[in-house]
Amino acid sequence: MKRRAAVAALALVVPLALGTSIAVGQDRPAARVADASGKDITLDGAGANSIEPFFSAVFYNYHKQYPNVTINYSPAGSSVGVSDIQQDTVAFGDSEIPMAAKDLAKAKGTVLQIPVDLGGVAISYNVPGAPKGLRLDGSTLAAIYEGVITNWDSPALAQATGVSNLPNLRIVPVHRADSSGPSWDLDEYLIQNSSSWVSKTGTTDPSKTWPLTSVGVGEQLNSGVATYIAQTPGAVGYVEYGYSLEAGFTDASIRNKVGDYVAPSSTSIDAAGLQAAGKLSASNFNIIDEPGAGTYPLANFSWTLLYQKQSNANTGLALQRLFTYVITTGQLQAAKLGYAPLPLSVVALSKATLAKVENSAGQLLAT
Amino acid sequence: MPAVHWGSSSTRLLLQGRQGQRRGRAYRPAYLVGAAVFGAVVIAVVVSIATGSAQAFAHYGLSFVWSGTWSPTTGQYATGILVVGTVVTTGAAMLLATPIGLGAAVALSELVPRKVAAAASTFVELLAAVPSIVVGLWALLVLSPMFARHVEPFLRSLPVLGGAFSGPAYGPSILLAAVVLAIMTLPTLVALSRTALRGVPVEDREAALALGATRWQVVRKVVLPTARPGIGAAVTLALGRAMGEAIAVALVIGNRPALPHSLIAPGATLGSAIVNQFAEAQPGLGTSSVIALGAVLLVLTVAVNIVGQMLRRAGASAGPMAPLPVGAPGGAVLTIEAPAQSVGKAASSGRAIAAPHSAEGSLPRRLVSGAVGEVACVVALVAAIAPLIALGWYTVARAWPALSFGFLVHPVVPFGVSGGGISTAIAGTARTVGLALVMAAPAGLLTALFLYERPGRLPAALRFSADVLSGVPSIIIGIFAFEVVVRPMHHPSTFAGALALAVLMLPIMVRASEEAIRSVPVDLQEAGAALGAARSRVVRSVVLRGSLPGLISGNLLALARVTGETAPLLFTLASPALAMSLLIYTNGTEPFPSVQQEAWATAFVLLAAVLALSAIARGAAWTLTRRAR
Repeated sequence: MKRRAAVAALALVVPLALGTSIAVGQDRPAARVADASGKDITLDGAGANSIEPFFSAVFYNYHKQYPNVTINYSPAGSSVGVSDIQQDTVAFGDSEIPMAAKDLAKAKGTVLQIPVDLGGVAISYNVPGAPKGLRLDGSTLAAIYEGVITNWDSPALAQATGVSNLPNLRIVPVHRADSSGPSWDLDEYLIQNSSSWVSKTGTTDPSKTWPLTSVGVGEQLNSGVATYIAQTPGAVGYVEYGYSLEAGFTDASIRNKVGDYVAPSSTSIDAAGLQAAGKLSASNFNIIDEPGAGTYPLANFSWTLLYQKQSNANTGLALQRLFTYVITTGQLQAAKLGYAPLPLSVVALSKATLAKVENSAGQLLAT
Repeated sequence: MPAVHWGSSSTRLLLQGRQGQRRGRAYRPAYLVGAAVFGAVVIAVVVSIATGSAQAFAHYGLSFVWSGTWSPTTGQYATGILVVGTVVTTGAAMLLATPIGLGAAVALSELVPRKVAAAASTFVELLAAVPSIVVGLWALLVLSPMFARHVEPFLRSLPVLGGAFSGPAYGPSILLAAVVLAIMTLPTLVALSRTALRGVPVEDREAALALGATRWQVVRKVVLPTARPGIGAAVTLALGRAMGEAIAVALVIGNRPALPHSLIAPGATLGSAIVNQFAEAQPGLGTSSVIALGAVLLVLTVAVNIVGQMLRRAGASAGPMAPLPVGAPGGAVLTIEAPAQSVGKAASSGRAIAAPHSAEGSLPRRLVSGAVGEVACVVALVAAIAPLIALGWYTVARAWPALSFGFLVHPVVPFGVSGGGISTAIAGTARTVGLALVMAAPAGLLTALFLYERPGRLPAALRFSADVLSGVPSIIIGIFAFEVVVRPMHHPSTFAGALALAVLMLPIMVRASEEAIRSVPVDLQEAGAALGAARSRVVRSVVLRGSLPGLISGNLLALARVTGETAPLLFTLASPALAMSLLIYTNGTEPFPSVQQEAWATAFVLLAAVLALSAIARGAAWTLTRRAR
């Protein structure tokens, strides 16, 4: 009897004790500095995967500064951000491509779309012996993703890149299996620059889901694509530049509108953003293949989505404060993470949009 | 059995009988409520999937099921192609796993020395608890590059067979997914098959040996044919588990929704498509269509599980039963009862031997062919265990440099910030799993008492649905929790995750608890009743006390099973940092070596926790059986 009781007690107590000790061991900041509201608040967000490195760094710093605000961000992809905001299952969403009118129609109220970061999409490759900044134009990239050019030492590729000593290695084109901003960006670039791509995909309407899945490998999220590239000699794929930078990938130089071959960098992405500054809006968001020497052609703003009417005023205020921080102080971290700081005119747009947040009675919340 | 001990307890029963009677009035309502809760859960899962998918079926009609159009923006997910992908992938997995699993089971049950077999069997059953996300991580980071560079090019170069492996070697492929599924289901398959083989009566073996059969002939002519229903059940239940596995498959199958033309081509299954598409589906028709994929998967897995459970019951009969609880992931604590052999059947087995005996020629020849078969079985045993040992070794080796006390007690920080750990995720898992335990344990116990107390069709139906529910893919339970909690409450939460885990635990708890309760001898209960104790008092003082180790063991097994779950938390928790399994899923797929190392270290901690829970559960069960002897 005693032995049995002892075993029973042990079996119950050990896991519980483990759980408790772990829960207690959680980091508790010694001094709690509240944000203006002073209340403990949790903000759940979901959306773009491309912005995750930026968001997690900025949110981490924000939480350090205001420990009463906890932010959970699920980087499951842009479409998740849109879909979650439409279903109202998150406090904020984020999408690399802003919501179109038909998306907005499915939402449960007016959605504010706020540009919060400026990023680029790198074409990264894992080809032993190949130089950095391999020159690729639209029709060559399209031929790779159509499965027309299949080997790194193919003459067509040597001619396009000007590099003739690429190894005899099969090209494995990697695309996103989920629907995503980077897919939209590259699809739009190929539509603008390759007639064969348009005839193969049968549309001039860029798509967030990769249109030609029969060629190459589909991977989930930037991380999935990047991991595959890192593992596979011969692979080429498109990932958010922040991921490529951190992973130390070799990126292609992409031909832009004026015929320059430009590699992704904070500066060249910034140049693309500047082209759009002033005329940017949620319906005029496309900054793919902007003109200008030194402009990287695959760039986009990332858009945070939140309801204009916040049924909980505390949440509304907390969101307003958080994203005001993101578009101002937070931008200081952009460059080192592989993004470009928002142009000032875009910051002004973001601020003006954030100021529209209302409580349930339709009154503006004071910032 | 120490009579004195129970006698003294019975005296107390007598003295406290009246008080017990008054308090005991709540007993019957309590177990009825428990059973009602369980029934409601089963119905709620089915109803939520049915209503969730109604819009898609209303829009596309039944042709949705065999559609070949992939257009997520319009809610078309090429269900027909995904069904084919699912069937091909799981079929290939079973082709790989069945001979290996069966050979290993034969080795364990018939060939290796008993002590070795006992240790190896316990080990195999522990391996069944390895979380699928850990297998997925290993497959993604270790097996996938290996397949792309060596395995797939080699298979492609084979004469004749090579045709099934044509095309570029990408790594992620139907073949890799099938191998992963085979590795994952093997422990279950081995454990269940072994139990079925052990159930074949000794007399039958002796009869065959007396007729001059070799050990191998006994295996082939007596043991395997007699255990066929049990083996069939084992294979079918493993198939059901493979069909429903979503996360590990999504990591390695390459996610190409096209009809497979080669086994090394990327593919997609219903489960992998749900993982990838559910969260991002367009609200309305899109979401409904993904849930409809879940409905199709549900129907498939339920059908497979019903067949499996029926085979299992066919294998069992009224004869002497040797229930052996097996903690099977994707299945409950399954028990294969020994098929009783009628004398006639034994005699016919004898005849089956006698005839081939003369036909198969000389003794040396039979001994040689027997030796070949036996060696093959031992090789199969090694093949079944080796991948999981390799997995364990990789996990330890890759995790080691990252493991420290700080890693356990510091919160999750973003990439690039130093000094981070996984305390947030450990606490999140503990919170979610703990809440799930609190939710499921009472309902599980009360339902088990209902099944025990009541004869008739309703309990039998509930028992059957518990067995079937335990085979429902966890990703579908995740959708269920999203539909009933996240959507109405407008945000993901620990509660939503815990609800999903509780639903997964419930059938395991019900069946394990019932098993434990049934192991309490009836005469003890009669003694209690004879002393005038109310039924509720007998249950409390005799039945529950007597079955306590079994109850704890069952609950811990259920706990171990859900602690490593990933799919149900994917749609229900607010951030990957809130559970170890989710953190492995996101960090493991990052391209940064330091982050991958954190994923390995997290996998190590999760693996240690799950194996410790299973080991404690088995320890509790062991004390129970030892006491009963």
